[in-house]
Amino acid sequence: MIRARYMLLVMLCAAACGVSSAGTLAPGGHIADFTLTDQSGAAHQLYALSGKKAVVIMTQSNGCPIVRLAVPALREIRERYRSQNIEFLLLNPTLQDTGDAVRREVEEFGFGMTVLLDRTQQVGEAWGVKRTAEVFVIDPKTWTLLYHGPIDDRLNYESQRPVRHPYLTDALDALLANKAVAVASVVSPGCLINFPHRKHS
Amino acid sequence: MENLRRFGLFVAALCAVAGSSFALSPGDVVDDFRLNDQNGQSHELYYLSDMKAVVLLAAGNGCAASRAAAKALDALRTRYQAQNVEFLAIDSNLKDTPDSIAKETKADGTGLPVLTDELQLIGESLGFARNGEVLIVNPQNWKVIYRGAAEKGANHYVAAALDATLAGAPVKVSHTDAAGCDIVMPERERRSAHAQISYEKTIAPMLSEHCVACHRDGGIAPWQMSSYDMVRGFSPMIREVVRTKRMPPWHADPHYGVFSNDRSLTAEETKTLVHWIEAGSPRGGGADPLTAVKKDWPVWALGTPDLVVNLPKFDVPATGVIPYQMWTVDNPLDHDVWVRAVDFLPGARSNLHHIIATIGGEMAPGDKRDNTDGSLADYVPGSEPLQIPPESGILLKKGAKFGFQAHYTVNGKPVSDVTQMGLYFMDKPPQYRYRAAIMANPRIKIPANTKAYTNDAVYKFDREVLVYSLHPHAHFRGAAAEFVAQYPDGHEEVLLNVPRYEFNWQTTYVLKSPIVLPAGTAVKYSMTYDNSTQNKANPDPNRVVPWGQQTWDEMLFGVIRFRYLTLDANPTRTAQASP
Repeated sequence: MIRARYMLLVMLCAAACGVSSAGTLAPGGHIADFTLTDQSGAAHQLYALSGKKAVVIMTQSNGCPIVRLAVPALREIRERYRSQNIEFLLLNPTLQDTGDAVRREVEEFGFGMTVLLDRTQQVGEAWGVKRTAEVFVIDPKTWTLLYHGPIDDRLNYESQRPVRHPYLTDALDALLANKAVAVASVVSPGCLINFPHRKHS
Repeated sequence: MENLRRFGLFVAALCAVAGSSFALSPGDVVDDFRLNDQNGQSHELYYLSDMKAVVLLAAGNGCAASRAAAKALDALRTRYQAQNVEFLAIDSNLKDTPDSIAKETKADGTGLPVLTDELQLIGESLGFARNGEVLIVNPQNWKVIYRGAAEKGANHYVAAALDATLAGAPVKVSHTDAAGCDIVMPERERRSAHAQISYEKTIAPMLSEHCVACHRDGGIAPWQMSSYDMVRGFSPMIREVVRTKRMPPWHADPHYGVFSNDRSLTAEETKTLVHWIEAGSPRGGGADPLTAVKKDWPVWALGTPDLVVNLPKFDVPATGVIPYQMWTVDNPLDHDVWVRAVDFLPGARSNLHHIIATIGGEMAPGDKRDNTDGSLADYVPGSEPLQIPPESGILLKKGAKFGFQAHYTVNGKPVSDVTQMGLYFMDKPPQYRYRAAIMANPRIKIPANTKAYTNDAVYKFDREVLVYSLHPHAHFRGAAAEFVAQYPDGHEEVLLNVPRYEFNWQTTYVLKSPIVLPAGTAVKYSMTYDNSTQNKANPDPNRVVPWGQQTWDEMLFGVIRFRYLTLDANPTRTAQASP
């Protein structure tokens, strides 16, 4: 009874304040299934990728310089791991980018990647996405998060420097070698994405 | 029924806590910010990512609780600094100025840098209510790990929290009540009024005036402020770049000098914009001026130039770091002319980040040429054409060669650039030559793995001069710059302070009212370099960095544009030749 009342309280509060209760996904956390359409209108279900060794998803928004500079690096990594049965996707959880606008961005910058459109922001909110160019490495055997952070430490605001820590490929190599990911969470630079229904910070 | 009513009140109270987005409690994330301290030095919170903890004190002049807390923290600072704990005070009190803060800290003998939060935006977002209150932040995730008093009797809360954090243990007492002097924050009580700030009447016109020149289709900015939806989508990012002073790209300390090309928002505009975003970027009613206005951007702002010089074609790759391009281009004219204005027309506006144009190439120390000649003009995104004051001009001799240093940035797609320089000539020779004083030190050796290394160069004016503009220049490791006039009577004046030098923005700071420097005045130009890993643009912190033209080397190079105050008897003669 007390528990029920507490739950009701939490729900009431969430509803009354417009505060999202989600957004605390950490490495080891569970990734729920979703189905989203891409920039060409094709539907993609996450759990349909259960045969993959890993699913790598990077957040994107149109007009963000860090994403535009990160995508070529992500594509290179996709090429390098081509034989390893790993899926690479982009996720656009913004309110402002329509499918058409995303398609134009993909063409203009030659992304050559599928962008999942999360126009209700449900995935972005559930995952606790803050910025673009955040990479999520997911283990499809257990649907758990293995790594959350930037591709590497090359890019920053209006600057870049040689890579010292290739976080993403370190995580993929660990997964492929059945080892634990040593660095599973790194603070990422990128463009802040507006999640109006999420509590500030 | 009564139960239900009480339950309802309880929910409302709980919501008030959860919904008050800006009272930071232990566990909440502190957003990044950049502020200058009482000595005009810049501090950015997220720069401190290599620290184990950052201790922030709400400080105020004339407050006993604040003074006691500062003394306590100063003592802890001696103990914990070697263990990578940073201590900073933040003064968000409207009555306190950098000068009055400097006086107070000097009198108190405390060594804490005091960041001046004159707009109160940072204090508001940190939830500072009283001077004397302490916040401790964990730089691993920027979460608050302690909030409250520095100490109370025998309870050394801050020391205990730091010991726990340094030992990798959770902080036991993470929240205490801090006694202290209330900080008057008028805007904190006006959160509901901020939701009434008009997008149509206030925000969109402000963005049109200050941002759209670059944030437009074909501008250098990566995204366009083309509608309310775009602005709302980027709102948290706009708030961040304003709080960290990355945008608008203007880096001068507002306490020194007034500049005609100042690109910054006013204090009032900054507060309005951030408060509007913190209120949820409400659309409100009315039209969307950003979709309605299609400004016609002129090809050449000053009309058709008298001479258009094509710069070499350059192919910009999709990504990577591009060395500066150095070009020499012939002057096609067969006679001498006087230049009154210079403008640039970038071919790839989205990639061209700066051009420094010279006559005869950039002056280097030891150069045999008269070193008041040589400089022509420079281009940075969003800049206005150089218009030389009417009574002066730059002599362009026939047969001279133009020198260009071009800096391109990558944006994810390959493009080709052919930029044009437009020159505008005078009908007759001017009374004065528009001159440049070069201040350089080619012997710099910047030590490896050093966060702040300062060096300087001095230029002494033998004649009375009228100074028009100041230009600091460095490369990836440039961090802060200053021009200080040392007058013949011994007193000093800061002409320009750039607390956060940003190599991407090679700004010339044009004085709104040109200043007279008497004969015998020396100007000391100093540059501070950050050759540490914390400098995210640093290609190699392990290297001792020498002078060099390329960005991986460094320059200590400043330019002052001026004219002599007394008439040049024959302005076509060089300064060395004239008495």
